[in-house]
Amino acid sequence: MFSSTVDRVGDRLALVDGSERRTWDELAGDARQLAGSLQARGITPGSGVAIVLGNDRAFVTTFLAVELLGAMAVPLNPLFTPEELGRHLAGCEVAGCDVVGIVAEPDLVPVLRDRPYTAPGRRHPWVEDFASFDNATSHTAAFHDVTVDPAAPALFAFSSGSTGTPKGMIRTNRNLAAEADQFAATVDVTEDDVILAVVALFHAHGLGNALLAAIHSGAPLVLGRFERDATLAAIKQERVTLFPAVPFIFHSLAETRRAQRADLQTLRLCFSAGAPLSQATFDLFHDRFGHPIRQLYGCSEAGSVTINLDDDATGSWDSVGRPMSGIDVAVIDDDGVCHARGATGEITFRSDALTAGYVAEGESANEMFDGGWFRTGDLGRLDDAGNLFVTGRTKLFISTSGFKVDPFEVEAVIRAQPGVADVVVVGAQGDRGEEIVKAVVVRDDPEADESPLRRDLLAACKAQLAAFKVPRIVEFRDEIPRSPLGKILRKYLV
Amino acid sequence: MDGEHADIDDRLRALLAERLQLDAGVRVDEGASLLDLGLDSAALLSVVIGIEEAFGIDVPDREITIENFGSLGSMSSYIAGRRAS
Repeated sequence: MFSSTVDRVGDRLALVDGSERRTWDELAGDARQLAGSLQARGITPGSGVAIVLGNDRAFVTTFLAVELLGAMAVPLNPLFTPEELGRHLAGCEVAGCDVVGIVAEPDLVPVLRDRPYTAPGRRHPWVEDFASFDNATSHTAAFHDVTVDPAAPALFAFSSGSTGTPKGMIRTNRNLAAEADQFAATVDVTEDDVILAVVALFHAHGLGNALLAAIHSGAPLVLGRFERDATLAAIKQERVTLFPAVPFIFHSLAETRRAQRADLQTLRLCFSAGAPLSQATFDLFHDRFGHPIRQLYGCSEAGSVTINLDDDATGSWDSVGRPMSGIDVAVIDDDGVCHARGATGEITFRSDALTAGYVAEGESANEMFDGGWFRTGDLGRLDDAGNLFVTGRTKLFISTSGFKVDPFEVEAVIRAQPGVADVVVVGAQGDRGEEIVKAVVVRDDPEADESPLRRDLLAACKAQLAAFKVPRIVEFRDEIPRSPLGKILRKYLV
Repeated sequence: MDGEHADIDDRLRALLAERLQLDAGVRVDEGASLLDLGLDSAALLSVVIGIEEAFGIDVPDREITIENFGSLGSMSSYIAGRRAS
């Protein structure tokens, strides 16, 4: 993928990192030089190389060098605490990913060198910052070309689901090539595009939809961390066409006073992933810049799965769109049977970009990989045109009396009743250890009498919901506990 | 404290309560670290955007630091300084 891009558009711009620029030929030279140094430090096909770097030239060059070597890139968040980094590196070891070396931000080098996270008797990986390799005088080792097996591991990643502990997985060279192919074919990315990468490259969204997309297509990559002024300036100066981001970034840009004067007319596609997009953010950004934000749906296990490219961008803003080229998506029930269009069930898909499974996890974790189909744990529905809508997560489902209850459905009924300011429905533990439906309600008037309101709420639920969905407990509180960013702290409600 | 600072502090308290979704009973002391109230980089940017809107100033991203915005007192001084200039 990389070599064919270099052959095709080698003299064109490949990346912009602040004042530094590289063509694809120059980037290939940098990557080969680093690959030679890594070979001299013991990196061979199958070795793990942890990349603990931000969005900069160092990340891109290191990633490419590791791929040239047929080794396995292990991108980790440089904002992790030392404990988190140690835990993830130990997770690699448990999963059989032998991390031989670590390329890290300079301030993390002494921290990582001091950490004895490997099992007793194991060799501690070397830890260097990128500059120590990038210093031209230190390069004496020539790179000896390696034949890379498409089926060999290329990436060791951790699932970033919102629940549970991170699970490690391997994705092969073939998986990554398929992901890049699917994205390029769907979005029609060419070397004439310019991709802005302010979403983290160590995360699936940035890695797939910025880095791999650029490597595959030859489109230059404009690197940076998200800052409003720098981001707006980069879009204008570098004539950015593709802008992958997250709702927070889009909202912050649209909400900023001086952004009203920003010139974003070169953009042809702004797309959001990582969290649900709100209508408020969509409307604000659209009103301010004239660009609709398109939702993309993906996961660490396979990269991007669907994207909304509907002609009616405003009318369909809340859909995550249709499957990428070469991907099949279905919505199924608990028995794995496909639902009819319009019915809500678990979102499942199959893709050549999908990992073979979680490493070092029990069978239960890998039940999500079902005959080539991946059960995402997300709930959704397909409309008649095949557009996917994500509506929730199965993991929030409450299992009671042998049935599954969608808390959002019960909340909707209660929220519509007079006197209710807010409500959250959770699964609480009953006196026999079973899960029961519990509603935590905030009243409009905190002094209002609880009993009649409780009676009215239960009557409404009984009228509109199956009996097993009706809350067994209704508890009144003054407020719903939330994190500073507004996420409901469900653990405090059970 | 002069009248301008007191006015800025009152408006900042309301803004912090809204943007950080603080409990109604929480009173933010002038010198208290906002990091202890859950201020991360995303929440900090949200607060700064609110300040820009409320006080009619533009805060350059390079000035969004803990030194300038780590406490109600430092925010208040920063805003007063920007208004004076």
